[in-house]
Amino acid sequence: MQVFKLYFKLLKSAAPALIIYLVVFSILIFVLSSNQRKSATGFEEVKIDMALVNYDGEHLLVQDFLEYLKSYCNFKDYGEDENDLADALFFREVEYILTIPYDFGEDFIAGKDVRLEKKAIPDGVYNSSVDQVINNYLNTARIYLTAIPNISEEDLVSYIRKDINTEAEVSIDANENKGEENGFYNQYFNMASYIMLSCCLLGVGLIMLTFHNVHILRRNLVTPMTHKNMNFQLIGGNLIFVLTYDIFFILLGFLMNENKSLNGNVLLFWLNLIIFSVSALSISYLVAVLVKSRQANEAVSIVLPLGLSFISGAFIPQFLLGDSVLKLASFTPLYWFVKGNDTIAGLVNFNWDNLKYIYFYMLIQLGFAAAVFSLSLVAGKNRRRDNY
Amino acid sequence: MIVEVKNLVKRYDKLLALDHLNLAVKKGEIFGLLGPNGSGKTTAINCILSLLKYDKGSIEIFGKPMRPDAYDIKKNIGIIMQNVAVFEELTVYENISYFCSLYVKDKKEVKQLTEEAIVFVSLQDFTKFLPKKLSGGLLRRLNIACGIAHKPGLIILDEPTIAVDPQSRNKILERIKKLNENGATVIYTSHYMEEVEQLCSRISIIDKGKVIATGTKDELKNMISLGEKITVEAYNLKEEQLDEMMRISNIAQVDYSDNLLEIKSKKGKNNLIHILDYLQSHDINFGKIFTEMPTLNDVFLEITGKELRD
Amino acid sequence: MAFQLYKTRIKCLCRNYEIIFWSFGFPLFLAIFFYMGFNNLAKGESIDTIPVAAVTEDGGENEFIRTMEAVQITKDKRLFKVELKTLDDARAMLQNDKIAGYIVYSDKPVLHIKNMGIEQSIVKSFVDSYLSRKGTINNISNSIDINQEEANKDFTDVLAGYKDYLVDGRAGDKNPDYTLIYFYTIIALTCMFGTNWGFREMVDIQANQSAVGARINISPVHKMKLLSCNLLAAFTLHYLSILFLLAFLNKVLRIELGQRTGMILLTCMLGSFCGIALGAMVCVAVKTNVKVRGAILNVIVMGGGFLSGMMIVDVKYMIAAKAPFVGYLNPSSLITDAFYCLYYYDGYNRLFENLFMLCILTVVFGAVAYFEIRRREYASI
Repeated sequence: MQVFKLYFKLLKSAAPALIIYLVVFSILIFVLSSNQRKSATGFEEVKIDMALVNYDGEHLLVQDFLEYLKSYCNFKDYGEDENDLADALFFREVEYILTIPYDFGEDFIAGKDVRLEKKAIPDGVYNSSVDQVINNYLNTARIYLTAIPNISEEDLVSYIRKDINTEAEVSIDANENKGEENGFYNQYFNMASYIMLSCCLLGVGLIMLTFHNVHILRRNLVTPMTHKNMNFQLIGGNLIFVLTYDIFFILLGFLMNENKSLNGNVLLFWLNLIIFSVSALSISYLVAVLVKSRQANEAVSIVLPLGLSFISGAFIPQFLLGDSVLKLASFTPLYWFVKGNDTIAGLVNFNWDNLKYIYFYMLIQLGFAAAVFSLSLVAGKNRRRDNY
Repeated sequence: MIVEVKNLVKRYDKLLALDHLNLAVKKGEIFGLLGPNGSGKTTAINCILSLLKYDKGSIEIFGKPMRPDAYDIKKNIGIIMQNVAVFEELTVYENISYFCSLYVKDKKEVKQLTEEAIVFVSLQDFTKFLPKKLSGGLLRRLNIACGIAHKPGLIILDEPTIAVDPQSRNKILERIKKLNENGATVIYTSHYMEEVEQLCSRISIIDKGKVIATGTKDELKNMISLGEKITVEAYNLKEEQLDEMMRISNIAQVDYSDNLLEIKSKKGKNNLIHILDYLQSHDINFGKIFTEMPTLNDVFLEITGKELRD
Repeated sequence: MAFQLYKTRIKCLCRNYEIIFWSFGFPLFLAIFFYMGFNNLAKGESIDTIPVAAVTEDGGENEFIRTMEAVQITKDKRLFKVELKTLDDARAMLQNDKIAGYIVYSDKPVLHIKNMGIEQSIVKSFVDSYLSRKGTINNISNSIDINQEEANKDFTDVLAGYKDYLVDGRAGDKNPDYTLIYFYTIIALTCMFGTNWGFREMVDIQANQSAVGARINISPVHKMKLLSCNLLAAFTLHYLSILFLLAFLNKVLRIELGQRTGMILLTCMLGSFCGIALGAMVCVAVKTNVKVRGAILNVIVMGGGFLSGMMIVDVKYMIAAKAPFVGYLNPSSLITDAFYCLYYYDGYNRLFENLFMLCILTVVFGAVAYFEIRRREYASI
């Protein structure tokens, strides 16, 4: 147990640095997940802020069109100055600028090829739905104008509105709508994979680098303790370290979530995080064995979690990622962790058919951890005979 | 005077590291600074070099006051630190040449000096090695070469032989002597009294940041009342006999254990004869006899009441 | 002599293979990861065929289902995979997440789903537009006396005649691709890796931080002169690593950086200066052990990256809107934004604003470092 005890003494010396990381990462995950919460829920109801530049004026078709748009957008007036508008867009005071050209209504009815001009923030989630709404309206108008050339403007707008307001009947088929309720945890824990991996790499690296210092390592190697035994004790110490982080992030998530109920989904999220943290630890352990300098370890700690999170869907949802990327990502535990989280979030029926997938994903993470741990044992064995 | 330190005071918070320290180093000598661990040797050196701020006192080197920007003074100083101070990324040759180039502007001269320094410390076979590939002794030699390559007039060595094997240590000491013969003044700090005795022409003993004695080694030894130490292999001595021996003139202390009689005598003549007379007259069998002159440790012991090395 | 010092320092820094490898290699790895993550996003190939079930009264196909099956994402990829099922089967499939939802068609389609996600809203908007078209056709056939069947026949044609009435009015030919920002944050991150270089230079020159520093301090070389040579050497290598990344981004990954090469190089240079100065400042101004200082550096680099939108681009806008001063004080953010300006805006105002702030920060960092290091004696070593 000496190594195990030593581990915690080293941990103590690294404590100030670890606490700095913990505080900053907590803030990070707080901002990240509260930022995501807004867009994750209520996919439909959100109205976007739109700056309108209307050069057309009073044409009935345009008036009606704008009236119709009001149920999708909040209009804001920023005048007609290009720079003001550009600024408003840049600082996200509006997400969309719509410009209606002179005599748009008249020209449209006359069948001329006229267009509206839009400027939108490039990555707005709802832009395309606004685009669709606008095009629906105008296309419907076009159809009527083609089919009934002499239709009156009043008839036209009333027809359009009637058609376009037709909405499909939707019935939601479950006892309760869990997906939305788990939205926060889903985001939170997906982000947590990034945070967890960073924390592990930095924390474990910090402690293990001391331990792997050439002189200390050699001193340890001449003791009668077996290489395996020493490593097991070290891994044990690391496990406790990581579990502390787990508990911290579980509690933080619990405190941040408005819904404090503890259902099966929540417990599964927790289990998934704990299992992931073991595989995160295994990666950190391997890196600590392979990397020799503090500076390099820190660089790995910044880049590796970021990169893996990007391809595994911790930041961008997995369904938006390409197949080839996901295939590559499936070689990392992050991918299975995120996939597990996404599945848990949508889980309503806790029957074996559904649960077996989640357990399977967890099993993959554990298998990964075991493989990487054995790899680091081998790597460590080779390393100790290296010439320094 | 090459170096003159007057009333130097340095505090670390509550700890008084240097307590009105006075030193004077003459041209051409090897000046030893002897003291136990933590006595303030390195602090004194760092203050002399203007690396450390000090609270009071004055320091002059080559007759001019030493300041952090006294570059003309620095130019003529070489320093060999306790810690090996070399770049891990540079080879032996590159390290020496780099540090030399900080002192000497001419490129050709740097090259020549570097090569001379390498020969001087016998690292010819290792010029292309990185420091981490060198053994402890070789590393120390590199450390020395980095300090003296520019042929300074004043060389300061701060415990250069710590953790060095006896062979390398002797080589280092020889080299220091050689440097001195070539005209350099040397300040040498150590807590190994043997080294200091062997090497230095003048010695200051310091303890708790104060100089407690200065002089040549003989002067130092004459300062104390202790004479030679006599050890006799003698058998079956009794308590009374030991007490009797204490009464012989000039005997300071008598110890007896494991058939070894240890007698410390005060200064005086014929001490040995008196003891032998006593042993003979009491029919005590004795074997080997040897006498030792007092060491610097004895000097230190007598002045401070404690051993130099604890 | 100055050149000699500079040369030796370069040699010294280059020998640290591990650091060199990471400085040049890391940004590349990250760029590749980002590229893989985003490559797909911008192209919009991301939508997969959505499985739905349909329940009709007679169990057979009808007009609606045929229309639904006809919708394509790309030439040979359909948007919906429709399976005809009984109501019970469809329900069970939905519960087990085999389908996104099912549609019960009696007189009109009703969509049944478990929860509202992206796939569901795609299905819903399809049904919406189907119904509205249907209404349009009814209205037309009512008012101009053509028969219903003929109208139905034209139905798909009408849908196909869908026309985009919107033109994107943004900056002409430039593709407003927000993923670029992510790549710009990598450039900013690389600039901020300069903190490590600055940090090391300061450690190596201070007597109380390294043995080598002590040796240098007692040499007759003016400390500031030596430091300048060393910092210049660090800058050279760091700047090269940035240029290397730029070349990789632009030539290999084909990331748009804009046409103003001179300004791009200037921005990188200022970014590199700023990073090095920041590292130097942290090294001399924060007086704790190496681990804590390392942690602080990491936090600055990573936190700065985060605030400039490296993980989630929205954060950048949130900062710009709600706490602009944070953006102004964050070098990563300034560099990212400068690159964005270079790519996106033709004008120079905002670019210069960013570069100006970057200069100010660099000067402040540098000044703090300078005043700390100017001291040549130390209280303790």
